[in-house]
Amino acid sequence: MSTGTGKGVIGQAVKRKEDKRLLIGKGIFVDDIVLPEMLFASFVRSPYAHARIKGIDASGAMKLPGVVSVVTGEEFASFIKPLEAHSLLDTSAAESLKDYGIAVKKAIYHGEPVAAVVAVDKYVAKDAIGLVEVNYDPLHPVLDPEESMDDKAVRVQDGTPSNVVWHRIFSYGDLDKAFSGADLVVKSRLYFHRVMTAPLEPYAVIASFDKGGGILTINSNSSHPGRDAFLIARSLNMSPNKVRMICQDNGGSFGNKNNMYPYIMLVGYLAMKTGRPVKWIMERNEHLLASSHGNEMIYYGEMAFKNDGTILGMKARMIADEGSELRSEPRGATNWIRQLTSVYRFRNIQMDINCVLTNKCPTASMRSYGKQQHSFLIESLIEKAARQLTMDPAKIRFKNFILPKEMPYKNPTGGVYDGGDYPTCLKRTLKMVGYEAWRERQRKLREEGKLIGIGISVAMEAYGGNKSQMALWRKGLKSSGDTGSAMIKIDAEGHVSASVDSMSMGHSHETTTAQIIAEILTLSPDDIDVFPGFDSWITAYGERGSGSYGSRFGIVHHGAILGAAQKMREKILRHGAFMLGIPVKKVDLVQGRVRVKGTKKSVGLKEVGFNAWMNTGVLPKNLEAGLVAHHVYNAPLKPLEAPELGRGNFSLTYSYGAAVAVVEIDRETGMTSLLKFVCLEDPGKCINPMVCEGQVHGQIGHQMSAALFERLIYDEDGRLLTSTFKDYLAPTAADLPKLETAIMETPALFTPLGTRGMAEGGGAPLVAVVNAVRDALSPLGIELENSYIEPEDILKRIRGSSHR
Amino acid sequence: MYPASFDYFQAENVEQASRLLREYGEEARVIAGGQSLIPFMKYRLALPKYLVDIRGIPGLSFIDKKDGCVRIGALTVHREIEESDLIRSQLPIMRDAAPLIGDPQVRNLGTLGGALCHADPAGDWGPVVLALEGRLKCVGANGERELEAKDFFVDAYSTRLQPDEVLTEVVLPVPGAKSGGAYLKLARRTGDFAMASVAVQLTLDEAGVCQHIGIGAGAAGRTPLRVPDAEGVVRGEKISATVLKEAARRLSQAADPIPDLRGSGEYKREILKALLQRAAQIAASRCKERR
Ligand SMILES: Cc1cc2nc3c(=O)[nH]c(=O)nc-3n(C[C@H](O)[C@H](O)[C@H](O)COP(=O)(O)OP(=O)(O)OC[C@H]3O[C@@H](n4cnc5c(N)ncnc54)[C@H](O)[C@@H]3O)c2cc1C
Repeated sequence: MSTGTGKGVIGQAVKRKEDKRLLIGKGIFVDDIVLPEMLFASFVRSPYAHARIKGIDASGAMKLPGVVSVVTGEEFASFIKPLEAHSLLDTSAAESLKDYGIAVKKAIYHGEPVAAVVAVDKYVAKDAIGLVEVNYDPLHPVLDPEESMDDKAVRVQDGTPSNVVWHRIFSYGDLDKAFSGADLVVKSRLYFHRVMTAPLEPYAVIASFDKGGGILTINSNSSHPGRDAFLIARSLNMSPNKVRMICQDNGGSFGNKNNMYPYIMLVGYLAMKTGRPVKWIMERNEHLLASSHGNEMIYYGEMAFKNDGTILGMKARMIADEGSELRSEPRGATNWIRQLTSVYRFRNIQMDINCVLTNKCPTASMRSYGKQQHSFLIESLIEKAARQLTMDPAKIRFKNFILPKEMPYKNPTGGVYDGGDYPTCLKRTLKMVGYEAWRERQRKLREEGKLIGIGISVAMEAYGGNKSQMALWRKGLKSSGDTGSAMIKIDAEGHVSASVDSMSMGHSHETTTAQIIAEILTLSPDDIDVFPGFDSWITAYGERGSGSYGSRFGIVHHGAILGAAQKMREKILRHGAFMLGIPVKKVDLVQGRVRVKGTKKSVGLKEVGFNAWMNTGVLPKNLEAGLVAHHVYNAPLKPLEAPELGRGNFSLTYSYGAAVAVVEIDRETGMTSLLKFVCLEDPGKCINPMVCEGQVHGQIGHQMSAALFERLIYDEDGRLLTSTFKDYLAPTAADLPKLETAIMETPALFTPLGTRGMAEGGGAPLVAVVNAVRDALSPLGIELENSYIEPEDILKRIRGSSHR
Repeated sequence: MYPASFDYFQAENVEQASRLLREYGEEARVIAGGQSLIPFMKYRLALPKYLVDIRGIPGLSFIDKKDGCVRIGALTVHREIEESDLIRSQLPIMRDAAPLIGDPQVRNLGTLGGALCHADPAGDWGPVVLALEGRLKCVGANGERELEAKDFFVDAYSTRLQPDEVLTEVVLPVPGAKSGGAYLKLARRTGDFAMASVAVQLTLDEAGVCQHIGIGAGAAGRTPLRVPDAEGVVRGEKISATVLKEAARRLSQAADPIPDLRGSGEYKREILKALLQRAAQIAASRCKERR
């Protein structure tokens, strides 16, 4: 039956199983689903960043034929409990922060839902939106996080003691010694701009409520369905088991679809209220306005150096502009703790963390969540020091790398780096780019007056997060480790199927799952059907963390799939041996057949499957009927050593990579063009090189465009100006440079397959572009402290430079 | 983003289209490729109650040459202009502009006539048609008339077209043998509308002295801009850095770009200057190539 042997399938560039149905347009996305009697929802949204809601008059909308219901924020609040996140915060802000996912009495960001309309079709719903009259009393919007920190600042949320909702200082090593003994201290006020992910498909939800069974079924494109079920159930006062979460195809997340649970909850309530299925498909401008944004951060950073480039220490005051609600936060504001010193050896650090509310869209997870910001901080300070020490930016990094012989290396928090070779990573990247030759060309072209820059960035990205990180901001929380869950079944005809408690959003989960199972069961990946989605009633999902975020699939899910495949292999062998009438140790699995070692005598999966399910009368007591294997992989992570001090191992794996960008800046227009772009990443053991390469492409696209194109802009009244793709400059393939990527495989020390996770890149592509622009402008004496390259700003600085 | 509801007509000929437009007046709009109108309707910036689709009208999509002029039917899509051999040999400046418009999908559907009638201040065809001194044929209840391109644009998204008129054809005089043209556009991202753009069509004599020049600028004000003041500086002169610098200065004086998220008016003036000088140099070198 098998078309393969399984040998060496792990590591092959197997073609993607999911491609066919997607390429012929037969994927099943939420909007493809039509249920009987289905209604459509649309949200009335606040045109103000901050306004008291004095009243809502829905009578005009209700008169429009086809409108079924208009639900205001107050009505929602009378039925639902506020979402959990805030209430668990270990600061005094916890009591007053209340997140209903919709404005109640006061709107706190432009685009916040204020009321929902339910109608017979989406056009009527949209028309009705314009007929709901909301009486607003505009309030002063708080937009600058530094002003927001002031005690006298207007409060974003009523009743909070301060807009600074979480503040903590974490210290490691001996900072005074580091700075007093330094030859050079560089200081910068760095700004990481507000940017978001722009998946092709915005949020999409269908909720239907079965009054008889009390079951709320949700079809959505969430990437975090298990956790969502818990949050929604809690807010709707029901058991999580009664919230059935079904997800299948998903038009991209990049972190963004971790944050749709407030909307799922609202649409869920609409279905319960109307007694009919309700579909809500978010529109693009709503997505840009009011899904979730990435972390916007200000750093006051200082780094101490010796004259030879050795880093002695770093201190930074972070002001995290969280927007108006804490959704996943303060995770992004604390994710630096997972990779405190990046790939470098310094050990004296202080981080002063301030999480501040403003009247903007809530920030939450986005690819390289809070980690690319941290890379930006470290790599910017190193870059500045290299210039001041007139040291080559590559050389200063080589000076400070942790070396392979020091692995496993314990960083100052107690994070245990799981192998890797940082110097080789940078060496190979420089070789790919032709670094020396480019420096030479740069010298020549500079003489001709050209502005050429070469930017280097090396970044760490910790994956496989320890759930005990939450103990940092939830005192006494007893939660640790991480798990993944996988189930494999072989039916009575020998067909193999598998399901995993993840959500694939272009990650090729079907393909790599099949590869791992094929290798263990000596089959071809084509022999294995992988359930392309998640259904909380069918998928054996492990815990509320299940889903896809933080690049955990390659870690916990691979562990789960491997474990389940090994259990299944054992079962097949035992059933086969029983059928062959000999002890298990005398049989082997070869091309999907149980074979008596050293002979040709064998039984195939088809026979084994049939016997295990259909001839159970003959089975001995100690042989379990059927062929089902389930495994929960338990990542070897311990609780934090001291949460209040920020000590512990926060991640199972520590991936890293390097990027080099070469840019030219047009002196007359300020425009930056990429002449060359090279990126290398170490995912540990690579299950499928084609998939890994594709992931690196995405990471480059995402992060180089964050530097050059994408930026969310609010005006002085707090209105988002970039609320369409005309003004939010998401790039297309035509804007990407020629991508030159490579994978370097240094097996991770603590995962079952040696995989390390990948594809978020730690911001290396972004920082490489910014550093390249800095390098290009350095002869003009220009320092750039922002992560965003704005042509007009660049031109102004060129014109304003005294070195012209 | 969902448009408000509307009624839809498919016109069989220009007269019928014009009649419908007259009948429904302000509430009716022509739809051609829909590449500007539909986005406007989805944002509910345009709320037409009646759409008159002219794509089914025969004989409005063509590119040919007659009486020293290239004539392009209003329904000709950007892609056809991009791929036309006649355009490539007779009006290479159009060949510069066409591939810069939007993306392949937009170019497959969007029409030359639609782009001109939409009159986006940052549109690409406006400056080109101005530099080429084109004429626009319009048909309405009162018959046919021809408008000079320089008189066509009134304001942002507004033209001299009467509510019942349909643009049917664009007439572009073919420049002489010693002429060269170039269109340069600066966009923030591939296929974006221009932050600034400049079209230059230049004719030089044997000695390299400028006999004739047409300059059109995009995103330089509320309408595409013809810049006689800058043209005057170049006409009768050899192309030199000094002359072009002065022409660029005049252009930036004449321009009053609309500030937006891509840049302030001041910044756009600066890039207009750079683009004019570069486009003129390319146009001049193309004159030489053709000789
Ligand atoms: C993503 C995107 C990117 C774009 N990028 C660019 C760009 O870079 N540069 C650029 O120049 N353009 C760009 N465009 C606009 C594009 O060029 C449109 O095709 C063009 O502006 C309109 O042509 P249309 O045939 O689609 O007209 P429609 O959208 O159908 O109509 C536009 C307007 O013109 C009127 N109209 C159309 N035809 C006639 C006619 N024959 N007589 C009278 N009135 C008429 C309509 O009533 C309407 O008011 C872009 C569009 C999109 C969607």
